[in-house]
Amino acid sequence: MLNQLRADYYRLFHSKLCWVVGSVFTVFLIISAKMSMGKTVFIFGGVMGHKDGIPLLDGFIGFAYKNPVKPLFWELVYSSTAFTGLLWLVFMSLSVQFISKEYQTGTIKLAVSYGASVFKIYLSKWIVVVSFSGLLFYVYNLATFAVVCGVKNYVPTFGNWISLLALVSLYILVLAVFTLFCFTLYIAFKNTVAVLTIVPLFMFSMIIVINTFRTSSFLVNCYLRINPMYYLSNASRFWADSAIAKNILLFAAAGIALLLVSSYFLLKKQEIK
Amino acid sequence: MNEIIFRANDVSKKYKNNIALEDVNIEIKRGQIYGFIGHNGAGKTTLIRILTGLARPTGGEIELFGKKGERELARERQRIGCIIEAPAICPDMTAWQNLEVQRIQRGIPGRKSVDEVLALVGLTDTGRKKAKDFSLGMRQRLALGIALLGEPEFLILDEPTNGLDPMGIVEIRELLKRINIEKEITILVSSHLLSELHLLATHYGIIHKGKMVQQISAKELEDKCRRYVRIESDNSELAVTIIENELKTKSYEVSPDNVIRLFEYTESPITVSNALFKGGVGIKSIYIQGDNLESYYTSLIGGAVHA
Repeated sequence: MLNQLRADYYRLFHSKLCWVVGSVFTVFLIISAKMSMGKTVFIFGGVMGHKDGIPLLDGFIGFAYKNPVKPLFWELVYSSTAFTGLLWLVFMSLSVQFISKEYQTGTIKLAVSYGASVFKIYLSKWIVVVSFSGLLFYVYNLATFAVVCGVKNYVPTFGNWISLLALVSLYILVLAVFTLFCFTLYIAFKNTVAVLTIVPLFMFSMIIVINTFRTSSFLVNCYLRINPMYYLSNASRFWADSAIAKNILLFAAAGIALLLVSSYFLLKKQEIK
Repeated sequence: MNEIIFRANDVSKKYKNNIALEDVNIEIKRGQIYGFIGHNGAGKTTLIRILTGLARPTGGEIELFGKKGERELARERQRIGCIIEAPAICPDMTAWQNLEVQRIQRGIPGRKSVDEVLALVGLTDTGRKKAKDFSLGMRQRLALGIALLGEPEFLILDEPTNGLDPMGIVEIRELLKRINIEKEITILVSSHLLSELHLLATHYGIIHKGKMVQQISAKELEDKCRRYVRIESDNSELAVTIIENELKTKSYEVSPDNVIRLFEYTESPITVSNALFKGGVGIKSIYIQGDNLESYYTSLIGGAVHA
């Protein structure tokens, strides 16, 4: 397994994909810096209410400050993490491209013919994608937060950094499930276009469902609870509602377990073509 | 030399409406270069896929290095090297990187082995050129290099000369012969280029419509394909005396039905008929017979088709 992990990291770092993803994150970092200095506001969601005068978001709102001269800590966090609602598209592309390449080039055949377990190969690829994108996501958010704070002359405390890291960690937990979801869909369909169509439809359908079915029925609630976008949208309120962090942890644990078991049986049933 | 490296016992593979393999039996011994012959869709790749763990048989079982069962087979597969269908390489990587990633994945110690294999397959000078910019022949050589990493004991090559130019084909053939002798690597090579296999294989397996038609050694095949003058006469004993005394050769066989197979004078059968005629032998028929691998294969498959 260790050799498989090392080989997958080698593959990732020697692929174009790695540099494309890194460049996209850099572009978002530059956009964040630009927007911090300007008056443009990023809105992808809405305000649910307030606690201690701080807005509670359902979705992502960035670079909107009640008092732009003296912004609040959470307003700065919202700004630095504003593009999370879009960055999952990068995670999706990375996941699908990384797993599909192995099948497209036929290198998975080689590994299996040398006695490697196809599930271990799968697991290794998931760990590599999650760890790489997770690390990138931490670096990106910390960098963006530092830039936003710098522009607004806000000096963050140690506690502020910890709170930010906690939020980013929650996002990464959701994205770990999301990555596995993309992987599972790929091995089920073996079609990149199908996965890249189904996943965004599923993610964005949450917005339509919420707006269409305001009164949450059991079915609607279930649907929302299995959609990663639901957790990404409300994670930024975790400091005001402890149930949110618990729900995300539960979603991650159950989602990973369920998807891994499903993938295991899918892979076991399949022959590699 | 008699150790069985690979054995298939009544292996079958059925898909929904198609029988890809039916009760196939194969035995490959250490040191052999086993030429696997069959036209497209005959079942060659299906058997190779089963051997390499990419497909599961629906009947029968396989043995690799004397071991059977899923777990044991997976362990023994670490001792093989293979090219299955198209070359499995990462297009964005150089030749060196492609080998290096395989070395890491398979836990082969020492980067030196990568350089050695690159030299062995003649790709040392490719430098920073990405595999996607390689010619088909270079890709094929890289795939062969990957298969040779870690000094496998059993090499499985599915159409290894695909896309190679004539010089490339000769180089690969010589390389395979060399590693077979020097490193005692057993080789299973499938190809539709029968003339090419004829120059390489020590044993053959002929498969047709999912059934193993024949397993034969190169020596046996050579005997079967050997050109000779077939003589049917009214007095085979006298004919043999004339052949020995007048034509000065003992290179002949007499079958139980008194047909003589003379392995010399295939270019001048008229000399034979003249000598026999002068000696008073009545000739019922005299003609040249014998096959090459292609015509032997065709006659065998034709026979199988009508069987």
